[in-house]
Amino acid sequence: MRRVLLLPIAIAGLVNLGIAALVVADRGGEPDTVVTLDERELWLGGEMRDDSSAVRLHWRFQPAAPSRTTAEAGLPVALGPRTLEAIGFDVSVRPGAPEAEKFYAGVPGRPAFVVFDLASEALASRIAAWQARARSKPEGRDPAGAPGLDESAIAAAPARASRLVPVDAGSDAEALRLRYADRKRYVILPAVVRLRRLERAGGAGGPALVGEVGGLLPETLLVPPSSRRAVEPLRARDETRRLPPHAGGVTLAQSPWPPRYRVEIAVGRRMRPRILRVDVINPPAQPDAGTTGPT
Amino acid sequence: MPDFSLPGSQGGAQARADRIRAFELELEEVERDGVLRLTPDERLRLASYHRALRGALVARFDIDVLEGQKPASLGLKLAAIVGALAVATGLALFFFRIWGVLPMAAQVGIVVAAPLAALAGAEVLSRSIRYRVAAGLFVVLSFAALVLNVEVLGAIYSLAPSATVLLGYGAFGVSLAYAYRHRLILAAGAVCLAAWVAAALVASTGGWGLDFAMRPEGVLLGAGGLALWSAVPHGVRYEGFPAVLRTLTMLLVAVAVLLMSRAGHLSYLPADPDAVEVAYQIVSFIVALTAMAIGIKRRWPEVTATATALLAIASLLKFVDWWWDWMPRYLFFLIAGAMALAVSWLLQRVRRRLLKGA
Repeated sequence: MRRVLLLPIAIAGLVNLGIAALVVADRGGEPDTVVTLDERELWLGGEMRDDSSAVRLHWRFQPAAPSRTTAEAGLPVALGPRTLEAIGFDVSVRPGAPEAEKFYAGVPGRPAFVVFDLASEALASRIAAWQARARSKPEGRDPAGAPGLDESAIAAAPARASRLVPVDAGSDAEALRLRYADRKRYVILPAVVRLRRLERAGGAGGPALVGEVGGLLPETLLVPPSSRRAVEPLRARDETRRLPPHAGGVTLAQSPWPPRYRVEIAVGRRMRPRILRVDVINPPAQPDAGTTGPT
Repeated sequence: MPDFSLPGSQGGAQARADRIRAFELELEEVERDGVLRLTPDERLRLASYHRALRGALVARFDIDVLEGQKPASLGLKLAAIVGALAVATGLALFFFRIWGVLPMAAQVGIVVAAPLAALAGAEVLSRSIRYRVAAGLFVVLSFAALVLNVEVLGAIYSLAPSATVLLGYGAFGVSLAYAYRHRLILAAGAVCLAAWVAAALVASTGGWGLDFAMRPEGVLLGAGGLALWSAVPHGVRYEGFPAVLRTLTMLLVAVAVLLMSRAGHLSYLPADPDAVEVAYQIVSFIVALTAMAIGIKRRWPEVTATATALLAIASLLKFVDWWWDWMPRYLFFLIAGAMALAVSWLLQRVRRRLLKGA
């Protein structure tokens, strides 16, 4: 073998060793959290135009910040300026200052750990706001004009809304865990947090800085081969063609139908989530409207 | 039969064959004009020397010596590149098609072994000059397989995407390129390394590295690294590599400078975004003109070409800023055309000066 080939072989080896080290560091010892979610929080998506035989679940969580409209006035802001500053964003320019618009445009996101509350009281107010807007502004129910927002769909929202509600974020996962010690209620996940400047922070409020969860890391979780066969038939009902509805400017992340499967996930020592098992609910569950706590 | 002193690289061999062909054609013209006439014996010795030399060059380097061979070779190279990319995509999609039904150990084993298996294929094929194109295809497959390796393991083990993988891709691609003198993979690896530098700069400030496109100045740093790398002597063995690196340098600089000249708020500089935009507009012209001058002086056509393109785009953007809103369209395009003709005239003068100096 030519000596010049040793280098690419060594680099390929190092890359795989690096991956192995990351996996061992995260999965060695007891996981930080083991929790059961369902289709409300992890939706089944088709990928690569269904060319792939692997099955992935996509995260679904409630927004951390109000949308750009004023319709969400009164809904809590999970990631405010203080949290953003703690994550490392430069928030030194007042959001109402003339130079603020350009100062806060195009700011790269920051990697952080986001705390999700599985039993948040804020979820109830978001659901109520969404239902009120859906009932009072029928013309604004769905920006895509897609059908499906009849009264039964509106009434079913509490049973279909994702329970993952962001409540806090920080750079230090251990410090967050100390603050949110209930491992059954609070799930801490790595994410990219993005800073957004709102022109009007709801109602008569002026400009404000809010943080939003740009995406969880990773954005999808692979269903292990042992559970794949059970879940695969459900892929036929492609959810990507039915976006979660927005009603009159209020966003509510929710499943278009009752949960069809439960997902047990473990979050490792370095807060990397992974699927342990997926169980199909047969027949699909019809949770009570008020069920928003952890399963 | 004399001993041939053969060139050390395929490019050198092709240049020698081209010179022989030009010499033969010129000799025909000279003889037709009666300036010189070789004796039949001299003509025979010369022809037999060239025939033997061509044979040796073809046997060793598989070069083009006949009319019409070069276009065919160019087509062959393009087809090989398209073929390699298509085969790599096809194999990746095939893997995605079947990986769900494979046990996890098999999934991991396949993706870890794939880059090394493709590398072994490239090594075996590269031993024969006849399978040069096929060996190149396996080099591309090896690079693509490493990317697949990382992506699939990342999915299996729920790893967060990270800009650090760009370093792995870049280092692997560059090491492959030097092992097999593969310019396409050199370009791919160099772009990954430049992107990694930009991403590392964002990450060093606590930002999300993969958002490096939101801080284009980091790309300038990566491009600077490529420029330094291109200045390292490569010898005849890697001829063509510096030109690839210079082209990438110019392209990255052009993209970053043009972006910054329109979006000053993306700058690291603690300055007013409007002032940053104006500064980068000036920089774009200085960079383009300087690079054109260097390209002409050092005879780097790739640098001259990309610098001219940068100058043209920067000028057009500035003209749009100044005139588009109020000037009649016909006048706008007439002025833009006149400017292009002025640049052509300038380059023509430079060309004539170079001819006089020759």
